[in-house]
Amino acid sequence: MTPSEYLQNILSKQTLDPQGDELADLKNRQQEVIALLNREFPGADMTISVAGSFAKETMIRESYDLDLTCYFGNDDSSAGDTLEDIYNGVRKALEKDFRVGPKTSALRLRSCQKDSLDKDFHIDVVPGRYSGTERADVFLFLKSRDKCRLKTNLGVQIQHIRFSGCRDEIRLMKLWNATTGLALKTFVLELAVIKILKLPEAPWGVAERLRFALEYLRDNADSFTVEDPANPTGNDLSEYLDSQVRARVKRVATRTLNDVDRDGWEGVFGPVEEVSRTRRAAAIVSVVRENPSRPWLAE
Amino acid sequence: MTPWFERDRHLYSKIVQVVESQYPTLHLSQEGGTAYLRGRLNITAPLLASPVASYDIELEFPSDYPDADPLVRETAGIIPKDADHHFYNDGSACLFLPEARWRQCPARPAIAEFIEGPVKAFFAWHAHLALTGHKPPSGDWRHGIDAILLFYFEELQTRDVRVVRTFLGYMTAKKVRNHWRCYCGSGRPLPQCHMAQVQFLRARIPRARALSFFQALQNAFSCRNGPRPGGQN
Repeated sequence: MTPSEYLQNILSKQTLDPQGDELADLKNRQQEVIALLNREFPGADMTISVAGSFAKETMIRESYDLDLTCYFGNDDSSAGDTLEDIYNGVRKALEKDFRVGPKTSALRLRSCQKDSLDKDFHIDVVPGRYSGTERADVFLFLKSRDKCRLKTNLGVQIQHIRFSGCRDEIRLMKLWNATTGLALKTFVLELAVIKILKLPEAPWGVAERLRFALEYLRDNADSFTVEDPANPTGNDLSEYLDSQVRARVKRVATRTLNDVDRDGWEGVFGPVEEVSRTRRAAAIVSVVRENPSRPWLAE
Repeated sequence: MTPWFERDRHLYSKIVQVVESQYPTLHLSQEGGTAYLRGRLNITAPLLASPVASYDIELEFPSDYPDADPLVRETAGIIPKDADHHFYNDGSACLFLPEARWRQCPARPAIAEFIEGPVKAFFAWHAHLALTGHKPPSGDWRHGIDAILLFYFEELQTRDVRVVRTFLGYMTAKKVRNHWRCYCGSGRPLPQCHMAQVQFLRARIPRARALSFFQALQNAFSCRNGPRPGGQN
């Protein structure tokens, strides 16, 4: 198997089955959220759309979520007058059925049921307001940031990534980001991969391009920058690339490239063969026998 | 207050070294005077090339580290955060019963001892629950103070609360006296009976911890039985 064939196999393994339980759960949950928002904001001039990796077609099984944008019309105040009011209004509405974790501009939905408390539903709701009547640009509320609003355009972002010609490399880099625990913000990683692979010296072939991207990150970790295609000057993404993050990117990229030199891509992404649940269950029995735990809880 | 990692730069650089060499999927960072270790914890098993289970975790180092253990959290929302899964309301995990921690790691463990011991064992426990549908044979402790009494029952191989009370009296005394009768009720002097057990647990359970449970037990006992004549419990 050539490196590119191996990586294609990994990509197939990371593709969520369109008929599978994971996507079905996600879609059912999506319907629940839409129904809840429609119920809570009846008659509102509100547009709910699917965004994120689902829309960008860069979803991976290892770490996936569904972004739902909930944008209100420019002169609609059903959820509130200000951006912060809208953010809090949507949050309050979602809290009727979910445990809601606030993120910078999104609201993460988790279970509030007793038997699955805090289970992550992999859904982020992004409240916002259209900046004008043409319904293209939106303003998002930014929680805990100096600048409390951000102008962006989701359509432009989605187009930029979906039609970048780098979706395979982006998906593999997202897998790398998840399995190495790097936790670089996904949007930043996607933009970085596109920018790197648009360089004239970027090679052809998935394996070669992946290596090129990693080498670039390793060699330029201290200086590389990315820009939001929807708002290159107004959306400052540099806060996601502070010195600690850059040092981590350099370290992990260096280690990954060493692993590739030593063991090939299999040293990074593991074997292609899926280990069955039964085999993993048998393995975990021996692990807990060797290293038993007996957790407690103080009252 | 100066953060511990600035007070003790040697310890911090040692942790950096250990993490970088042994835990390539975990990453140290500092945020607002607090140090975190975040990333992916892989539970591996012999003969399996890929991890049996992986969890995204966060270890938050407290300001009095290494006297206190890091707080451990699962950050991807895979495990429900409730009492049955041994998570507090703030999302931190309760890895072990403090009285029984010596079974898993020493006091003031090195970071690798902490991760390889209670942290991995805790997440392997959850992986077992997720993969097999039931808790591992080691089970879990009941919540709250009941578990502490059970712990002493197990250690002393008794079901008699009075034996535990006497034992705790010896655990919490400043010095163990040779003329004391054994807590087990044999009537023999302690050195000729279970002195080793007293010394074993005195060396492993902090006196303050034993004292706190001793007092709780005394209170519960006096509530249940009423005051004894002569003021003795």
